[in-house]
Amino acid sequence: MPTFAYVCPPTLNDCLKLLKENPGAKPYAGGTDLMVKMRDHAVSPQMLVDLKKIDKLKGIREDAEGNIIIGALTTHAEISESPVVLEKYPFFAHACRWVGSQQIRNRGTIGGNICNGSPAAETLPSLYILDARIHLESISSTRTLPIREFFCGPGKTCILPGEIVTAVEIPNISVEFSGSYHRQGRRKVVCIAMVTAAAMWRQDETSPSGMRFSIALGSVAPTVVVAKNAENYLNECAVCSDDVIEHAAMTALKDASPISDIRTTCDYRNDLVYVLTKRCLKDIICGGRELK
Amino acid sequence: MSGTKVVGASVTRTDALEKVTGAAKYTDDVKFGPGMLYAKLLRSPHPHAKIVKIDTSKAEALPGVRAVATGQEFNSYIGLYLLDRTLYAFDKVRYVGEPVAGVAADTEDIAEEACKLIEVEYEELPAVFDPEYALDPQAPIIHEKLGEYEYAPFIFPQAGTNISNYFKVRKGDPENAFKECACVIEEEFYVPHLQHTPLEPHVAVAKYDHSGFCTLWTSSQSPFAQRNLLAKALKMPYNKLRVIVPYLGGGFGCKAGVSIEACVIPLAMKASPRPVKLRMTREEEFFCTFVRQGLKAKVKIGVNDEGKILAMENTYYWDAGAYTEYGVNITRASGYSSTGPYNVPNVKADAYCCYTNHPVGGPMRGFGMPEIHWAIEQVIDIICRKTGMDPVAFRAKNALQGGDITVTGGVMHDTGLQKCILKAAEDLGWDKPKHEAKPGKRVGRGIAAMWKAPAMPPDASSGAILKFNEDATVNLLVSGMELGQGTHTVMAQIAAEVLGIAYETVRVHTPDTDYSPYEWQTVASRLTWSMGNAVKMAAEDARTQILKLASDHWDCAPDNLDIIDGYVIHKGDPSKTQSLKHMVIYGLTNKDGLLKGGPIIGRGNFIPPDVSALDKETGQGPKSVVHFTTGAQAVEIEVDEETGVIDIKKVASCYDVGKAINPMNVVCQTIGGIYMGLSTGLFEQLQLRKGNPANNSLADYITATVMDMPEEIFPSFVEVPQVDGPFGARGVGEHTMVPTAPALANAVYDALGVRIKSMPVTAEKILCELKVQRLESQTV
Repeated sequence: MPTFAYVCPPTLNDCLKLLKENPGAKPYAGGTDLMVKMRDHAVSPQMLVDLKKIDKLKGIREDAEGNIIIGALTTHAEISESPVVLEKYPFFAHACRWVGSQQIRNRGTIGGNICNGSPAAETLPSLYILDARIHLESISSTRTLPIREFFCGPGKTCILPGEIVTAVEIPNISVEFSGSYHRQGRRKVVCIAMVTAAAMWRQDETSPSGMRFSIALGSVAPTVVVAKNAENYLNECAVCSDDVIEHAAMTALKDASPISDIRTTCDYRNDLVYVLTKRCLKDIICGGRELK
Repeated sequence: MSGTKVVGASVTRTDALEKVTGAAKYTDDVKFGPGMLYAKLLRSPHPHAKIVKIDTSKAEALPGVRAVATGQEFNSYIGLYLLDRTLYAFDKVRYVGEPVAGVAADTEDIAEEACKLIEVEYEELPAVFDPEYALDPQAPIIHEKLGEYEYAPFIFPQAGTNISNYFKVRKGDPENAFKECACVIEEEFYVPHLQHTPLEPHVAVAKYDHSGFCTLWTSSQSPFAQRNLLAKALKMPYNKLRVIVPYLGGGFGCKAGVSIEACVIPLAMKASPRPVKLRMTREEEFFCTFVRQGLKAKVKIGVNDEGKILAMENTYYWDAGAYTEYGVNITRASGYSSTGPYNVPNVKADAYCCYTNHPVGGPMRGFGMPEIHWAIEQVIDIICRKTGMDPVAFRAKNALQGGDITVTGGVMHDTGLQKCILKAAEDLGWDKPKHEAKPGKRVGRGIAAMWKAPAMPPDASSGAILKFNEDATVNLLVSGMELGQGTHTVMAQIAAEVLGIAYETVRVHTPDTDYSPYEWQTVASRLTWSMGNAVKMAAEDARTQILKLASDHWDCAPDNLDIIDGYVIHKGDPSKTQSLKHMVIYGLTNKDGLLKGGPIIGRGNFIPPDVSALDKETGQGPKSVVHFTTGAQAVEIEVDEETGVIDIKKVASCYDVGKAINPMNVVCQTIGGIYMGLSTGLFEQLQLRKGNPANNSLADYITATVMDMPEEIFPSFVEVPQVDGPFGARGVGEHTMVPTAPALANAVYDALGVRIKSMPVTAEKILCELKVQRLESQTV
């Protein structure tokens, strides 16, 4: 392990100041990805700025408009057990339960998971279909980005030097909706997903079926991808029969561009894109409420 | 021996309290103070290359570096059965990860930094990555000096080739027998390289003092083999090398023989007298110590129209890696067990130990048996499917029984194999209708049988010393390692049974070669049988001494006496009782009033009595091995037709253990074996790309978790006594993982009609085969 400076400032401003003044500094949240990368010499920060004393980065709250704001330091365990998340978006709480092991979920944070930028991240497909927004802050500015604009490659985000993610916001959905998440790894638990898929519909009178669909796929491209072709097909169908679901799931393959790696092959990833998309759609159409 | 008290009882493990409280010490826990140095190894980046030049001067100049060692200086060979392994590479490197140089420094960081400063010039050579190709006359030769290496008399290296051992069986007339068969099936199977993944990675500390006395603390299954091989390679007198092994955090074979110890002692010699510690990272552990060998197996089995096996012709190409000092004997084991546990009158078998430029293949739980049974048990399943015979009835019909002639021409001892097959099937509910599968899922059942003998030299022996203390507690000195399998408990039970004392009063110690008696190695599931016999003899020796003292004291015949619950009693005179306390050290007075006795020390030694050599050309001989443990396992699964994902519903297993000294321990071994069998059957594979490990981390090398375990397990055993075993016992450690993977593959076929011939049975392979099946059914 290389040597580095460690600081644990009491305020967010102190953290942001240190990050700005020290280009070799990295923010340190749960460390579940960072420590592994440092041990592998994949990253070698000169300074770690521990965020753990910054209480305003912790916890889950619902604002007056029904938006849910999840502090960047909130752990996966906390999200998966949060009553408000479980009630409004159970599939997202469920997705957080797939992250690593119980120990990793107790330590790893939503902010860290997002900034790590893995296309296999369990939390991301659900956040994509929920149109989540990423809150960013530096010593001189704050901004908010839609999650779909946040990633630019595997492990790459458009976070700027000196900037940190402070929260993830899930905008309130004021209409009827239903969502689902499926994933498959090489064993039952504690494994990185080979493919992830999330799908939801929300009530929309302008679409023929009365439902507007969103589908996101993970681990099949350099970043999580939106299954645009499948979404468009579904948004034009008047009824969501089994045949339509089948076809939509097949169409999702057009949106995936998986590779073969040590986890599995391109072929099997394609098979899983079809099956997992189909399972998500069946959940939300058969399990949810038919609108028309 | 009628009616036992503690032998046969599921008593609590003697090491339980130490382990749950954290009192138990492991090698890395031993403290050496501030003088300790830390070692790191520079490893070969090439699978096969000539070493042109090594320059260590920059590393030696780095502050904090205390010693650098290379193969220029330490250029001897080491090995258990074939002396082909280098301590540090010299002349050539033969696998990615081979130690080329070692550095001992004040910290691990400095040692690592120094390794980067060592300049090595290589000239790359063409490499061999396929065991069958290794036999091709065009293939590059990996060990040019194979013909000059020392080897054990039962190993047959082929000089000038890549074959470091060739074991042949020629029995009966298979060529003609196949012509009489109603059904002949020939298939090819593949087993990948695996890693044992014990919780505790290898760690060793060596200290070489100014007088030339060397002490080695190491996480090893084999303290005496360590001393034997290392003292020989480093030309030390045996009594100047002391090996101490605390508890082990698992081994599964990868800590047998010698591995990292051969690198740390040279560093300690150069950094004398400071102790030097070398510990593997998890990443190194995957390819730098031992791996399980890969196997390509061609199995051909013929049966007549009554379902009797008439002939087998099996060829095993072992992908044994760069050094085969240990692996040569896996090839031999695969040869003398080549038919599986069946009565086969006509056999041709060829087992080749092939050098490749892969990591060093070594012993792993099962020692070749999980690999060859993967092939044999699937071919038998194919035959049953093709001929419509029931896989359970077929196996029971062909199972070896006492008095049958084995593949190597010896007489099979009594065995409960047939009972095991039927019991495992019954416990699974083989004859009952399958439960209805959930939508999109299919249910399947499979069974496999197995046999395995302890694979060891004919002279693998055991010693035991049993010392009484004043309060009649006992210290039992043995050198078989407690690596989680429960051997200390079993030894305490055997000693307590013979001595008529409570097993809790027997403390069994981890070994120190200076003070503990000899034990060949903790491998081959041989301890209960071999060390158990030595312990029983030591206890009997002590018992005889005690009864002699009491009989002299009371002036009666020793035959009238017994020891019960820590008291010597007179069977005919209830007034005569004598506590063991005090007398076992201070003796008793005899009828003349003279003090007799002194500290009671029991001594036991055991060597396999009657194993014979096998003919080099035919593999035939009167007794190939000490005994075979047999058994069977049946598996029920549910498979997802869309994803290929398997849920293990039930596993039932039954083994013939001779006598269960501790039934709970047998059950635990069985559950552990099922876990490991499922893990290797479903997930495990060390991915090697041109000799480079691609998944050498626990994030990427997938093993089963508790969530992948079966919903129900039915472990059982039968007891057909082993005549030369302690209380009739034989070993049952490794065996319990042998049939799991083929039983699983057979269940997959039962569920879906697809045959997975390459381990592991991944969801992806199943789905791929299903797609082929669907395409074929469309074209028909």
